[in-house]
Amino acid sequence: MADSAAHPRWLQHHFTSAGQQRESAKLGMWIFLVTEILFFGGLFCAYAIYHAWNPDIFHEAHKALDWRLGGLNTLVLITSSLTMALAIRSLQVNKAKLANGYLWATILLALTFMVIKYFEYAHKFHVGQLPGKYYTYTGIEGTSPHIFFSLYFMMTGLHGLHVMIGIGVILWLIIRNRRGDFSNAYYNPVEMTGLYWHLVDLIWIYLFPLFYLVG
Amino acid sequence: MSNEHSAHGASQDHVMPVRNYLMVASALFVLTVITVAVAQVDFGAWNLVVAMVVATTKAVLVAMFFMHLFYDNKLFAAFFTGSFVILGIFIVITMFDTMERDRLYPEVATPIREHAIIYDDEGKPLKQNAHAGEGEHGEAAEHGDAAMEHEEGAAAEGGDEQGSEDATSGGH
Repeated sequence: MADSAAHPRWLQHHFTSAGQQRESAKLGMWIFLVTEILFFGGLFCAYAIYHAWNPDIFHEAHKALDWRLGGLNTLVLITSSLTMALAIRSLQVNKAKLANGYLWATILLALTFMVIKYFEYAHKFHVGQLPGKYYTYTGIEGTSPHIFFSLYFMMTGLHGLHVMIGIGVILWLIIRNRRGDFSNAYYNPVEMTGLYWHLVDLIWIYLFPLFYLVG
Repeated sequence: MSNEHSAHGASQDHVMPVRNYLMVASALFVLTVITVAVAQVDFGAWNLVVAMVVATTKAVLVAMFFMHLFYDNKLFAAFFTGSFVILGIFIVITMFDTMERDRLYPEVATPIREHAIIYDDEGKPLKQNAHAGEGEHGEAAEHGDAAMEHEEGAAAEGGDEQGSEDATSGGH
């Protein structure tokens, strides 16, 4: 396909302009994010039910989580959201190389998040604070603290999976950016990934107080 | 906002100064510290409310500035807000159901499957279900639907499941 100024390679033929293409992509991405919210929403609803049924158990069990690690992870994830937003801004002002720096920083912070999460999980596996029938820990009062850990592993696990997927997608962006695919005229994939990444951050913003602080 | 220039196509998205991004991130850091600090104080039932108010403030900051909703087409913000409205309806109605159900009739443990074992608060199987679990597996399973109808009737009357179960399994 001819790459001319009037019709650049990245502009899909069914769009009249770059602006229309960008708006359409964003609308599609936001609809996807809505499905993500409802997807996680089912688990938040489960949390609400079990918390309402067993407030004492949740209060006792939440002390088993280390709020310092959870808080540190919150700061790590917020910083990664900042670097992601700055990567997009760098492309908006046509600094592709700087954008790659920010994307690498985002991946590094995401890996930091996963490493901290790994230490938390490893500790819980070690002492037997596991979901359902795998729960063997005896240090928490009450009849069914495993309910708390079922929800904890399900919700933080699903969130962690989203972080891993995000790392993969950002790597793909770095490769494309190095190839010179993005400029201030076209950076839709970076912006859409940014929206996804901020949503992952946003979900953690709720998971952190619900599990580590309130319980 | 930027509707007029995004509608014209080729023009660029709104570019926010780096300083603004740093300010938003700082606000998020401060709010994280606040939510941790506030959690050390016990407000009783208000703990959850306070934590959710701070979290929602953070979420709004992320959505408006990191996700550019403040500058973008308002349709996106409408979709996003709409998802939370629907989620709110989902959770609120579920909570009404699960918390207020026993006002209508005393809650009776009714197994969905005939041989399901229901545990009491001490984690021991309830006697009536333990009994049901022992019974003739293969045969009774085929008549599971009939048994459930019987049990629903029993639950509405406020008990006597034992009798209805015996009646159904005795029939074969």
